[in-house]
Amino acid sequence: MRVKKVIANKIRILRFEHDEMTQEQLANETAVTRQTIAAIENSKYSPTLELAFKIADIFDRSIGEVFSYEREKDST
Amino acid sequence: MKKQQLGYHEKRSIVSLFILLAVYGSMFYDAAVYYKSDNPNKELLNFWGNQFLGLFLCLIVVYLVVQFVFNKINKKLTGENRPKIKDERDNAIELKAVNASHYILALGVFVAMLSALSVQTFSPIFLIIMVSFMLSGIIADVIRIVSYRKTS
Repeated sequence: MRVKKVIANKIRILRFEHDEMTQEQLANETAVTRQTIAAIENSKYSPTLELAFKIADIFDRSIGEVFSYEREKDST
Repeated sequence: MKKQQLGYHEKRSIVSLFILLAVYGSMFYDAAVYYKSDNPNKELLNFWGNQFLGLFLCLIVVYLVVQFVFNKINKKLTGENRPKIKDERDNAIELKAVNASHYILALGVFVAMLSALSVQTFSPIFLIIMVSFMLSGIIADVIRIVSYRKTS
């Protein structure tokens, strides 16, 4: 059976560690909409490599520390 | 997980879908009236030329007016402004929608040409092209709505 994988991330945790940064603030810093940040946080949208690097750069982390390739969580 | 409320792009696509249905509905109504008339083959090219030109002009004007009115009403009701930026997610969704609509349009032209070979009259060609225009617009809007919903 094929296992579906998603790009998971720690953006929510990192935002809170970063003076409780809001999605709106992160969106402004990366020049995307708040909806896009929300979609990335919920693993509903996979960002481009450029945006992933930008986000990692804002949190002063490597891209591997922010994003990971994981098996999708079972929502049922 | 809690679903987000409809966003600006989703609402705009729903409005656009209704406009599309209304405009094409009136075009097909005109066509039905024309074909029920006494001599529908008289000035056939003239009729369809007028229909297509009217359709494009009508769609442009209606879209511009409705876009303006929609922005005003949406702002008043929800306080939500038109997004100032178009980011990579918007571009990816737009690309998907435009790609699908182009495929439908190309398929429509292909089927219209096949009908020209077999039937050898103008009416089915124009009708098929008109239907494919309509379907391409509908598919594009549906893809926008579904894609924004899936990623919200």
